[in-house]
Amino acid sequence: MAKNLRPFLSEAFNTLKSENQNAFLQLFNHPAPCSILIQNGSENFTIKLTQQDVLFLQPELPDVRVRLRENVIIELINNNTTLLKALRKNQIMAFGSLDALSRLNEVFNTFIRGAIRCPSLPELLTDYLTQETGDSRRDTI
Amino acid sequence: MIPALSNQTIAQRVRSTDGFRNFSHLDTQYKEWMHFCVFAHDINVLVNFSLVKERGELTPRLTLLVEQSGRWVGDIVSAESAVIRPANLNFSARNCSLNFENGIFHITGVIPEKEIAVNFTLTPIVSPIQTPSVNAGSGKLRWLCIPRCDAEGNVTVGNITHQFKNAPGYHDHNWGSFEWGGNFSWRWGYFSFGSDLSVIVSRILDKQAHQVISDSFMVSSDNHLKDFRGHSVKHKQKGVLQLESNLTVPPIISLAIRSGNVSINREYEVKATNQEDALTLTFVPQSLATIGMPSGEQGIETSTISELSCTANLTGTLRGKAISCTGKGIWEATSRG
Repeated sequence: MAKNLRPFLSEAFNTLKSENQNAFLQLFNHPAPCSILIQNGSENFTIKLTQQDVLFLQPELPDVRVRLRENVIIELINNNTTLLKALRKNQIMAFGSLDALSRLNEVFNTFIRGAIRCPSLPELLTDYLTQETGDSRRDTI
Repeated sequence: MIPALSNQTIAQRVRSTDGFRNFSHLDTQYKEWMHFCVFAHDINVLVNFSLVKERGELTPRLTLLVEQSGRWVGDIVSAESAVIRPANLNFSARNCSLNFENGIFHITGVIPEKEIAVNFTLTPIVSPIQTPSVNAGSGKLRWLCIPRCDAEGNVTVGNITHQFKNAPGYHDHNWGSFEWGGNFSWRWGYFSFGSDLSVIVSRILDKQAHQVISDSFMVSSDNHLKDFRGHSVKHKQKGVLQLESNLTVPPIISLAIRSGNVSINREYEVKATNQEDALTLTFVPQSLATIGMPSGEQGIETSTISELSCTANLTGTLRGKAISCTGKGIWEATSRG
């Protein structure tokens, strides 16, 4: 069973916005809106970066689609795997044009590098790691 | 031969120089940490008690790293609060404590999630060395060190407890106001050749590590300290080694820094010479742990501290006496993440 990612990510972006505004604003330094469809088990949602905010929406046709294998986020948080290893093992699969994937990489790096400076992040991670698994069906990727 | 100082004199000097600084009024970039190393027979231990200003308050942190059989385990944990008194040598938080009593450091620390616990004493056998302040970008870093201590206690990793007695130990104390990611980087190493001889190497460079700002090579042997500085210290690196960091702390920062194999030098050589003495320290990295931290004013940069356990050789002459010995050490390098 996969843990629900949407509330965790939503809270993480809110934390970034309130605790590291510099980094949050740099998410929008890149041209054109970016929408990312996240598929995490049966959980499907879209993260959309507008010019000044991050929105969590119902699934829609995205610039990039990201499919996550069960537990890969936990493995990454605990440093039991690396992004590169997860991509090579198809634990994370990303689909989109080269430009869109490149932009996703920039947004991801800005988000992570900004989030790790937020004082509330350790608590947020602990909450996520100790969260009961969601009602997602078994991941069939 | 210079007569040995009494334990009481050494303890008095530690107490008068090594206390926590008066940090209550200091600026937002203020940092202070107490660092301890122990080289026991089958393990190496690093314990670091630190204070970093966050949101206007000092956050206490414990870093606990243990290397056994070429692999590092450990973590960094923050505490909500700690009891620390300026000018005293006491640090007490939920998961750790540091006390200096009767000339002995008493150190405890536990990280239950990683199944690691340490409980040991460190007795300084030489006086603290006060070093010149270091330019750390636009700030200043000050430090002092005790190059030789006698360690006794135990370290538990998982269900195995390692006990040690008369193990070589080291302590340094660092404080100052500076920004990680500023225009500086450092190379620092502590090398022990038994309880009678240790070497501390310190090199400050610019951020890209292109320009050397200062060099120091300190040898503590018997009751002497020999301090080589500036042009009397020469560094040379040989070959390239691909080494995978087997521990990155805090784990989440591995997403923001370069991970996987890291290119480092296969062998390092540091020569220290003056009119009377000529010493050559060579060391070979064995295993790597990486400590990551946020840095920079933009809020999205990271810096890293690499901790490399090493085997080491020291050869040459010191005060007219030939030296040739093997030991081990920790080599530390800061860089951008």
